[in-house]
Amino acid sequence: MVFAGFAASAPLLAAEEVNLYSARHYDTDFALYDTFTERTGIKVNLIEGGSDALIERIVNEGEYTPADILITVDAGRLWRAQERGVFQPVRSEVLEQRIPTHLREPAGHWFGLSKRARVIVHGKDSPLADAVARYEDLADTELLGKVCMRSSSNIYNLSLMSSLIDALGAAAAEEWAKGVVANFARPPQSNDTGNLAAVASGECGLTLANTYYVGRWLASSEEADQRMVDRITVVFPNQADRGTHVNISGAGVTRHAPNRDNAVRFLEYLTSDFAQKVFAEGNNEYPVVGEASGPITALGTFKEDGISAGLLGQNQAEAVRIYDRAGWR
Amino acid sequence: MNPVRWKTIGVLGSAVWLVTSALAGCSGEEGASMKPADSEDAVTLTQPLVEGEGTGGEGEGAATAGADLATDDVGYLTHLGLIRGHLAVGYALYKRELPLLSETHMKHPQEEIYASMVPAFNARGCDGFANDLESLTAAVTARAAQEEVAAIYEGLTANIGRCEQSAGTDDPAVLAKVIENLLRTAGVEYQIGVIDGVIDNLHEYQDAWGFTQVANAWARSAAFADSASAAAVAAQLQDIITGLDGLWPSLNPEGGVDEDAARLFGAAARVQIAALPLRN
Repeated sequence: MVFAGFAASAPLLAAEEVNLYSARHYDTDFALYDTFTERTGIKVNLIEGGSDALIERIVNEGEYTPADILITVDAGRLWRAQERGVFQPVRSEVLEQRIPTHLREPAGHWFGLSKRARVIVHGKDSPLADAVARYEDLADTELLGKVCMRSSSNIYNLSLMSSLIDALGAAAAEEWAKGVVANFARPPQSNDTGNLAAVASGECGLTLANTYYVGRWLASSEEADQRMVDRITVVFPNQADRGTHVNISGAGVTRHAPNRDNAVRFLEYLTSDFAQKVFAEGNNEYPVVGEASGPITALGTFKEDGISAGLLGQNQAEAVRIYDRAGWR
Repeated sequence: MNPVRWKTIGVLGSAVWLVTSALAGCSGEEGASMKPADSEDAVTLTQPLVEGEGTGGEGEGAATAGADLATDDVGYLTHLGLIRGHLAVGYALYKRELPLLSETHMKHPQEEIYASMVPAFNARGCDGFANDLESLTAAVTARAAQEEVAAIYEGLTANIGRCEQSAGTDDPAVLAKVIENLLRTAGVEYQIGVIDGVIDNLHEYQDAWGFTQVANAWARSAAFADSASAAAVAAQLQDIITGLDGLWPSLNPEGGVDEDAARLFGAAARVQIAALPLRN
């Protein structure tokens, strides 16, 4: 790799490269990058880290950042990054044609590249099966002592609450949160996988989890994981009305991207049929373009909530306040 | 981001190289340069001819927070780099006849960093250098002659070098990560030190220079000469650091500094990218 020499204030210019700052950490993504390089001659340099740390880095690096693209998970984080001035608007016919409108930022600051649904999971053959068809049902008093959740501060729960604020209004969303808290079997703890395991073991009646965590068990060759899957049932909430809450992994071109054209080309590549299959399957997610593939298809198809992903970030502050007032730690 | 743990390889000796620092002995100096050819303040990395096994605050600790310094070579060398950086700027200030400013830097390693490193020194078979730190601090506090301070400083840095021997000082990948950490920490310091062009904290501003000096020295380590690819990386790292000239028009500027910590953060990031081939 050769970099052109540069003076203190000049951006890093290298026509053959694109620098990714990515919060995705899946080995399958390397195949994506290698194929892009083979097809275009553009080398992909990958810097991995946590979403918030990468956002902070890009902000600190300012106009001197070598970052061309930030890839992160959850629309709420994409929104945060946009608010911090991380992205620049991109107009691309390819991106606008391939990616559904509600899964990209209207001015092109970021684009959804894969999807995950936040689903209700209860024990197989559970008597709760008939009681939960919607997120709203989680607040019903007949679920007293049955509900296990992770912390409200987790970005996935914040984004779900953001969608509920949009669907129900803030007041009703807060009443819902209070109802769910009243049904807790235990204080919020662990993560999606931990709560799924608690449902599978019978410790908890039900929980909420992202579909890819179930997908990992489905994809696993470990007997223990297969036993877990056999002990749970996934419910896609709100199929009779607005549809199930869906969130995204996504990316945007950074504001000071030194290799902007390469970055746009890379994003466009990620919407290709090949890349969509690898990008989604790599984490047992759903593609934003085309049909799902891989083990996750065992969960079936579902109607998704068409809320604009951008709203998931915009409502985040209110979501935090609602959870706090509801006592959902 | 968490530091990467690197396995070190055996070292059967390393060449001694010493960049002598001419004593400037005057204040109102020219800008504090990163260019090694004309820098009177180039940091000395003294690696004695010994057969070693070598194997592998504050915001200063952020780069290696949580690292086990007894086994994490990158974390260990980064911490020693911070110590070197404090001492380097303290020494540079003393040469410029600014003893009061020098004192605070000379005291910093012992007061803030050294104690946390003792378990690592013990684990790595290094005797440490507490006495040298005390001697240097005492000499500066007593306003000893320049020659005396220089002699103590050189002895101290030689002992630091001995303690560095137990880490991956012959591994370009380790050194590149250390350089990245030092530059990023320098960015944090500079960000505190300079706000909207105003020197808000002179000490932090100076610390940033010291850490960058050490990064500069490591970028010129003989370890990068082991292969053509490593040498190519080193050339890039040197370019990146040389490009930071101008961030310190003076170690004790009058008035403001129209510069941005983003340059240091960006440099750290470019070092990280430039060093990617070393991970393969």
